[in-house]
Amino acid sequence: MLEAALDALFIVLDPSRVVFIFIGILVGVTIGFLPGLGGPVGMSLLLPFIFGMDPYSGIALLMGMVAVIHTADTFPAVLLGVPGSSGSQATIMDGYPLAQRGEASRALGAAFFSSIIGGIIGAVIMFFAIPIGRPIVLMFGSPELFMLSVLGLSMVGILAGNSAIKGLLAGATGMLLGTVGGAPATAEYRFTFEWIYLFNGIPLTVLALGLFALPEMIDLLTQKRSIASSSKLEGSRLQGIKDAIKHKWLIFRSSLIGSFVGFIPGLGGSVVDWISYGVAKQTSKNNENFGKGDIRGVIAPESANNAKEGGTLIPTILFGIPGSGTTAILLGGLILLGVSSGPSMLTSDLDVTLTIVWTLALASVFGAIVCLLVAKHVAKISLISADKLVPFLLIIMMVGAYQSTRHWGDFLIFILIGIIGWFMKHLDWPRAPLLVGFVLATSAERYLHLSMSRYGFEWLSRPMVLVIGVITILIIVSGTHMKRRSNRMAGGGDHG
Amino acid sequence: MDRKKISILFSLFMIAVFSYLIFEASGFQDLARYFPYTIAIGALILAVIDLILQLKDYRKKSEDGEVDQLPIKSFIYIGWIIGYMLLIVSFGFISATIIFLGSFLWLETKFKLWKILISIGIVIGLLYVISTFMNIQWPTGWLF
Repeated sequence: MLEAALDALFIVLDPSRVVFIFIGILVGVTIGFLPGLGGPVGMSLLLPFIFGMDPYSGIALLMGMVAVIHTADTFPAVLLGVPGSSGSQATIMDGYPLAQRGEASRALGAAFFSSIIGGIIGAVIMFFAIPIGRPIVLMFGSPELFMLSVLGLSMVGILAGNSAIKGLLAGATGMLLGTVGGAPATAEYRFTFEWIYLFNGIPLTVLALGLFALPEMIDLLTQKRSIASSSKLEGSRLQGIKDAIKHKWLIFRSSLIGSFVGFIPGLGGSVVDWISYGVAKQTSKNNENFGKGDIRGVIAPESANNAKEGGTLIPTILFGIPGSGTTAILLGGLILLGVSSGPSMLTSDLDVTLTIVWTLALASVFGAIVCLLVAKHVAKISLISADKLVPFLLIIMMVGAYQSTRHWGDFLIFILIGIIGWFMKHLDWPRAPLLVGFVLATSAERYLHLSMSRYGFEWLSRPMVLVIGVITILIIVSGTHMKRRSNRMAGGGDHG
Repeated sequence: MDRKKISILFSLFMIAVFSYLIFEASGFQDLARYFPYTIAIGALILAVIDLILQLKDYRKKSEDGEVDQLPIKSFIYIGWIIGYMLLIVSFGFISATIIFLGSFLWLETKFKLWKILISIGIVIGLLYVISTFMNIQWPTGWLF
């Protein structure tokens, strides 16, 4: 296999393919930077161009883009407090407070360096996991997947904000919003008010933009200030890199979590950053500054969301089970290139699989370096006063929101959710659990339905289910206790 | 606006929403009902507990004489955003963007005319570029 890996490296390093990797990286950085345009949009943009390409060049283009989206989406997460995509939801918890303190460069430096290491670790784990991936993926049946959804939601509900009850309530609200539209188990439309726009549910982009971006824009305008409260940038990229090196074990741990959770189809992308953030918070000493601008709160999710890319590719490539919208389109792209996912990816098409691994690793490194190079200049956005910046951002957000379904409903829901998000922000309702609940609702309902119809209530006694259940209860109890203690000691901040 | 009072009103609003969802979900077929129905009931219970805790806290804070205010000025900017949406619905995206950007930069940012014209020019130029190269579409309005 090592010989095959070296051969694949030479294929990837062919100058024409390196050019395609860089084109993919440029598209990925642009897409990641613009809130509202995620991986599926980037994939859709590139897909028409791969017709007629040889598989290796096509893969270089597609993987170059995939590898850097979760690196570049750190820009809006840190600078605007808006998750550029689902992978950067947890980054805003500490990244945005750091930007508000004028330390955007430091946060971005730490995030991009963590992304490089996370991406490499993800690719290495993918390389070694390819032969053993099958039994690991098959360990998770629908009951375990359902319990993982509950675990992810509980973790976020407890960790975000100052009140555990409000966190769980926000998560439940998100899940209810996620049930709008067609029911997965039967032909019935729910909570649609006979409005055709809602038949397919509320688009994730519109919800995320409304919930996070709009309230922030309104507050910046109200306070007539820039994102950074100080008039100059304080931390540097180098300081961020030093921070990341100092917390090397956190990067390593979070990358392992990212790769492993990424294995799980349908869940990984949505919760991996929260799980790594939660684990980092629970296992770190002096964790009272998490949520208020602790650099470890940036390092953990950023390492995990890049490492995850390696993990998500395993079920996609080996079983044809895409874990997200992006990997679903990637699967389509592979078919266009004449490559079929399945066991053949370990035998006759092993070179293609290894090319994917190498491209992922190289693009993670190149992409993060590109982001590091531009970070200093992009960070200056946080110094522009709100009345000069917000009208332009609002136009970008309107464009992003409208691309979801290209229906008037996108605007209406965007503004409605934005107003609710503004009230939530000011009334101490954490918004992050709502987003996670929304993302997990469809898969959680589907897995619960499958578990009940296949096993009745017996699924509750499966060993893995019990283990995940115990972990969930421990997190709720310890999280609530920690929250009470920290509230008693100081009173915390919320950016979720 | 007293933040505590608004918080209680918001919780009451959420209780009303959860109650409505329970009522609505009760009419679904079995397979479509159990998930939202169960979550809405759980959420309603949590919301009621949260409301009780808030009411207790409100009484305590009222005795202490503490009043925390919500920023009313924010509603002006919410108005700007709603106005922008209404402009898009009426005149289409490009015309609405020109009107919104021009008036915002004039009235709120206090830009000079030449800066406003340059800003609008750059934005429209960039919109044209991304619509050409990224296949991104804009809405047309009712009037145009």
